[in-house]
Amino acid sequence: MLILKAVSLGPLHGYGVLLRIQQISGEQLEIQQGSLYPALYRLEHHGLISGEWGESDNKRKAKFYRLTAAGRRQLHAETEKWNRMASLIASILRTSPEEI
Amino acid sequence: MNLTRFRSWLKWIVKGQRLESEMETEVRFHIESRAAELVRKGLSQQEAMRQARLEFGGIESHKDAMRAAVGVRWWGELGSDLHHGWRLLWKNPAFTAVAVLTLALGVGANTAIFSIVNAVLLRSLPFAHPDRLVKIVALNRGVGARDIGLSVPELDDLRLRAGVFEQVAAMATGDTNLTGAERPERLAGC
Repeated sequence: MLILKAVSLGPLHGYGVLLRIQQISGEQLEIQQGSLYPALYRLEHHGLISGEWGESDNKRKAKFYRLTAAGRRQLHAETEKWNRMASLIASILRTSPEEI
Repeated sequence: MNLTRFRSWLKWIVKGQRLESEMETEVRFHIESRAAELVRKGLSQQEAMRQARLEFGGIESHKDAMRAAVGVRWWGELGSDLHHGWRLLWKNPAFTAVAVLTLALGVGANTAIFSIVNAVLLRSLPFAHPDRLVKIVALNRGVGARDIGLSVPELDDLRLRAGVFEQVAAMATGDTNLTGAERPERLAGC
């Protein structure tokens, strides 16, 4: 889900995905760098993102990933699910003895 | 969705070699980008590369996971298994010859036995009621002769007077002439 979100903000190469996740999480999330790639390949295999070779900022050949239409739907569905789950847990935790 | 996955899988099977090198390029790009950043932070080039590789983790195991993610790892494993098997066979030509010969004889014998079983037991006769079909054999007990053949009057007796058979036909071996309205023909019998 995090990868889909990072890629939804604009096409990125693998290293860029890592930087963006770290940036938007305020450096709170530590991702094991190598394990990012199997995840990217799985998402591409499922047609949620698509990779294309292009040129990086430093004029190097790099593979850029962008969100596909199916990926956008998936990100939307997962965000919904996550929000539902989070608000459910939050309301459970807020429950005081008087309410029971 | 399934079609997408199948297409992606097929692409890997067909263009495996190119995709392998792309995978390598992608991983190298990542490590070098990370190293460049570490250099900016003040590390020496060599130290930065070492650190970047360390942070990335086991390159080969990650690549394996990438292959597994698109479902082609078994393909590569099949290739190395075949290669390994072939090398072992090549190393022991005598064993290989015996194994091949055994298999060949086994397959041959099996085929031969099956063709007999198929003809005798499995394939039914090309008649409507094979269970009602009988072969009439003439005997001459006086001289102890068997299967001596029938004359045409005897055949007529069986056909018209015996009253047991629906139809009676005679079989004869040997070449014979077929005559009728048109030109006669010579038929070869066996």
